[in-house]
Amino acid sequence: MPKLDLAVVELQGCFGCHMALIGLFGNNRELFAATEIKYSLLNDVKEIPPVTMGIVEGAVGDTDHEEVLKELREKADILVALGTCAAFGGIPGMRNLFHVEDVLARCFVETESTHEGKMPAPPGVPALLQCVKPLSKVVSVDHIIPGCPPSEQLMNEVKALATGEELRLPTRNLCIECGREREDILVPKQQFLSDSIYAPPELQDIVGSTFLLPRRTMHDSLYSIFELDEIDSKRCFLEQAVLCMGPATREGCGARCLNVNIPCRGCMGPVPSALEQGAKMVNALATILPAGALMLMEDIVGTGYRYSLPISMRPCLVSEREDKQ
Amino acid sequence: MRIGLFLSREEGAVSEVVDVGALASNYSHLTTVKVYDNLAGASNRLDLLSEIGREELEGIVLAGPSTKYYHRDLSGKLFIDSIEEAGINTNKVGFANLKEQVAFPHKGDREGATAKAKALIDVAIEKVRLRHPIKTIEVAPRKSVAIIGTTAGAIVAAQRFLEQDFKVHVLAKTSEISKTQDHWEAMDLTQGYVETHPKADFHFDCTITDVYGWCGDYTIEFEQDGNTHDINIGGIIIAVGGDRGWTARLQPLVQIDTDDDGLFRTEDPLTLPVQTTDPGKMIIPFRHANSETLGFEIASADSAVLGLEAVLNKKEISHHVTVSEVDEDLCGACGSCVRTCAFRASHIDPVKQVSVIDPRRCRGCGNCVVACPTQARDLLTNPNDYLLSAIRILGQTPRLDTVKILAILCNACGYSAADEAGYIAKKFPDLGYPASVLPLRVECGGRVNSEYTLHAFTCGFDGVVIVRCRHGHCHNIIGNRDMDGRINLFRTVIGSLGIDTERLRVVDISPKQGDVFIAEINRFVEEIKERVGGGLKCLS
Repeated sequence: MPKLDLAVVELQGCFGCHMALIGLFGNNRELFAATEIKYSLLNDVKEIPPVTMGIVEGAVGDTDHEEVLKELREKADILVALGTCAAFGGIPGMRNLFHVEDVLARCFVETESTHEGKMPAPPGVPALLQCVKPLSKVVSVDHIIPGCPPSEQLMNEVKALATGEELRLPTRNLCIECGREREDILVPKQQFLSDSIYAPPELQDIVGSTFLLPRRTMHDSLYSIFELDEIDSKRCFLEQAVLCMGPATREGCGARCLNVNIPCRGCMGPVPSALEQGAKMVNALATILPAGALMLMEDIVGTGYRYSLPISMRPCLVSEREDKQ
Repeated sequence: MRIGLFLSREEGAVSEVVDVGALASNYSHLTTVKVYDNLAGASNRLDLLSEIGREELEGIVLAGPSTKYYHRDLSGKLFIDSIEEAGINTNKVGFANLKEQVAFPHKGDREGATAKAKALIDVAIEKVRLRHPIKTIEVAPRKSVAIIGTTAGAIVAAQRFLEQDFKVHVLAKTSEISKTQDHWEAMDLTQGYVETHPKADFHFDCTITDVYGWCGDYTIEFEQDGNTHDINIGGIIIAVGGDRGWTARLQPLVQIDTDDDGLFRTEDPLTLPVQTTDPGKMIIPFRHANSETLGFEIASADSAVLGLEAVLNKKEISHHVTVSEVDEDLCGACGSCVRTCAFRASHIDPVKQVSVIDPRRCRGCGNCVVACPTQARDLLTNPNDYLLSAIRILGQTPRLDTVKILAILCNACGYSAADEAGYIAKKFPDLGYPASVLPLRVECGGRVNSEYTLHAFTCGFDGVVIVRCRHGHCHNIIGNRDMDGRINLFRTVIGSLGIDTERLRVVDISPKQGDVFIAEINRFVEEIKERVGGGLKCLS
C-alpha cells in the first residue's frame, strides 16, 4: 500500500497542535509507518510538493499566511484545518477587537517592559491583516478538527481521514461529556441558580488542587472581595456560580478541563447550529444566572468569543470594507 | 410548493394607499393570486375555500387585515378552522398585515407603503414555505369543571354545570361561602342547590399549588389540611371577584394576564368578555359594586358556562403541539431548557440523557428554544430558520428613507399595540410612523434570540426595536424578564464588538397603547437618524 503523503503547515498558532500531531504519531506506530511527511518545519524542504493531505495549524494573520495557505490548497488533495485557530480563528482572533495599528503599537511601543520602542517596519516582513481569519475564509477547507489542541479521540479522526473514512465530529454540547453532578439546574424554578457569578479569568489562587475564588455579587463593586469559596470538584460549575462555557461548546474534547476542576472556556468552538458562540452563551445562561452580575464582567467578549470571534457575525471590529476604503 | 395568495383591498382601506394591482403582479410564480374587496364576505370566503381544493393548495397567505383580526373573536377562529378543514395545516397559513400596519400608518407614503407591503407578503410566503405542519393531539374532554372562588358568579356557574350533569369542584380559600356580596339573599336557593348536589365537591381552606394541562384535560394540585390533593377536570372557571391578593397568587399558576387594577383580564372586553387565550379557562370578570353588579355577574357566569360547555360537550378537542421534539443528535442534556421553563414543561430523561417536553404543560412561548444552546429544539410556529430568513428579506427591502428599522413585536402586546397604532393613525391624519419601520411578529419576548439582533444589523438595519409587554403582564409569565436578561447582556457584548448600543432598544407597552407605540417608534427613528448623520456605519 502506498504511503500517505502529508504536508504540515504552521500559520499563526502556538505549535500546540503540532505537538498533538507528534503525540498521535508517537502513540501510533502503524499510522507513522503508513504516512510520509513530505513537508513540515522539520523537513529541510523549501517548496511544498504535491501531497494527498495538507494539515494546517493556526489562523491566517498576515499576508504570508495567505500565500502559504493558497499554495497548500493547490498542492493538497485534502485540506484539514487542525485545531481551533485554523478552524475558527481561535485565540489570535481576539486581536480583531482592535485596529491593527493599535495592536502593533501596544506590542512594540506601549508595553510596560518596552523602553524607547518603535514601530517595526523592516522591508520584507509580511504585513499583518486587519482581521485574523479562519482558513475557511481564505480557501475551501475539506475538514475541520477543532480543539486547543484537539483531543486524542479527535486526533484519531486524522487517521480515519487517511484511510478515506468520513470524518464524524460530534454535534452535541459539552455537558453530555461532563461527569460533574447536577441537581439544581434540572429543577424548573423561576430563580437564578446563584446570587453571584465568577468568570474563568478570575480564577485566582490554587491551594493544593482547589481553586479559591473571590465572590462577587450583583451589588458589589467590580473588585471587592469579601469571601473566598472552594469549588466542589464533583459538582456542576454553573450550580456553583462559576461561568462555564460547556453548554455553548461542542463536545469532543473529553471534558479535559472539567476533570481537573477548571471550567470550560469554549475551545471546541460553537455547536454546529450556532451562529454565535457568545450569543448562545447569553441566550442559555442569562436566564439561569444573574445576568446583572454577568454584565459587570470585565471581559464579556473574551469570555463568550475567546476562540470563535473570527467566525461570528461580527468577526472584526473594523470591517474589511472599511479597511479597504 | 403550491401556495395561494389572497389579497384583500379591504373595501379601499388598503387599496387607497397600496397599489394592490402592482403588488399582485409580483407574485405570478405562485399557484394562485386572487384579489378580493374583502375577506369577510360570504361569497369571497366560499371562493377562497373552493380555490384551495380546486388548485390543491398546500399553503395560503391572507394579505389584508391583521392576524389579530382572525383571532379576536370566535367567528375569526372559525374562519381559520374552515381553512384547516379545507386541507391546509394551520402552520401553512400566513398573514400579511397590510391594513393596520401598512395602509393606516403610512397613508401619505404610497411608494413606501407598497414596498413595505411587498416585504410583508414575501415574509408571509417564506413563513408558509419554511414552517413544518403542526401535529394535533385529540383529547376526549372530561365532563367535569373546577370553579375557583365562591362569588355569586361562581355559585351560579356551578349550578348551571350541575344541571347539565357535569361534576363540579369548587375551590375556596375560605372555610365557608362568605356571603358578603350585596343582594346575596337572592342567591340562597342557588347556593342550597349546589351545596346539596351529589356531584358537587367543595374544597374549603385550600391552597392551589399547581395548575397544568390543556383544554379538556387539566390537573389542579392543592393543599388542604396539610395534605396534597389533585383533581382532574376538563375546564376551569375563575370567579375570584375583586380579590387582588388571591389573583396575584393564582396568576402564575393559571397563566392569565391581569389588568392595571390587579384583576384578571379577559381576552377582549368587547368581543370575548369572559374568554381567555386558553379556550378551557373562563373568567367571570369583576365589576365594582353597583345595583347591577349581581345581574352582570350572573350574565357573565351564564356566558362562561355556555362557552365552556360548547367545548366540553365535543367528542374530541384537538390540540396543536407547537414545540418540536428534541433532536437527539444535538441535545447534550445541559438542562438550560428545564431551568428556564416557567411552566415546568421540560425535563431531562435520565436514561436517554435528552430533554423531553410535556405537551400538556407547554404553552408554546419558545423560551426554551432560545435557551437551548445547541438549537436542538424549535418552535414550530416561529422556527429559527424562518425568523433568520424573515430578517434577511426585510433587510433587503429598498431603502426609501435614510434609516431602516426592524421592529420585533411580541404577539401579546407589541403586535396588538402596533395594530392599535394603525387605528389611531387612521383616525388622526397627522399621526403615523415611517414605512421604513418593518415589523416582525414573534410569539413572545422570550422567543427573541439575541443572535437575531446582530443578524438584523448585518442584514442592513440601522436600528432594532423590540416591543413587548410591560413587566408583570407577560402572557408567558417570565418571557419579558428573560428577554431582558438576554438582551441587556447581549447589549454589553455588541457594545464591546464596536456597535453603538443605542441602536438596540426595548419598549414596554400594553396592547391598547397605540399612541405610545407611535411616539416611541418616531422617537427611536429620529434618534437613529441623528446617529446615522453622525457617521454610524451600516454593517451590511
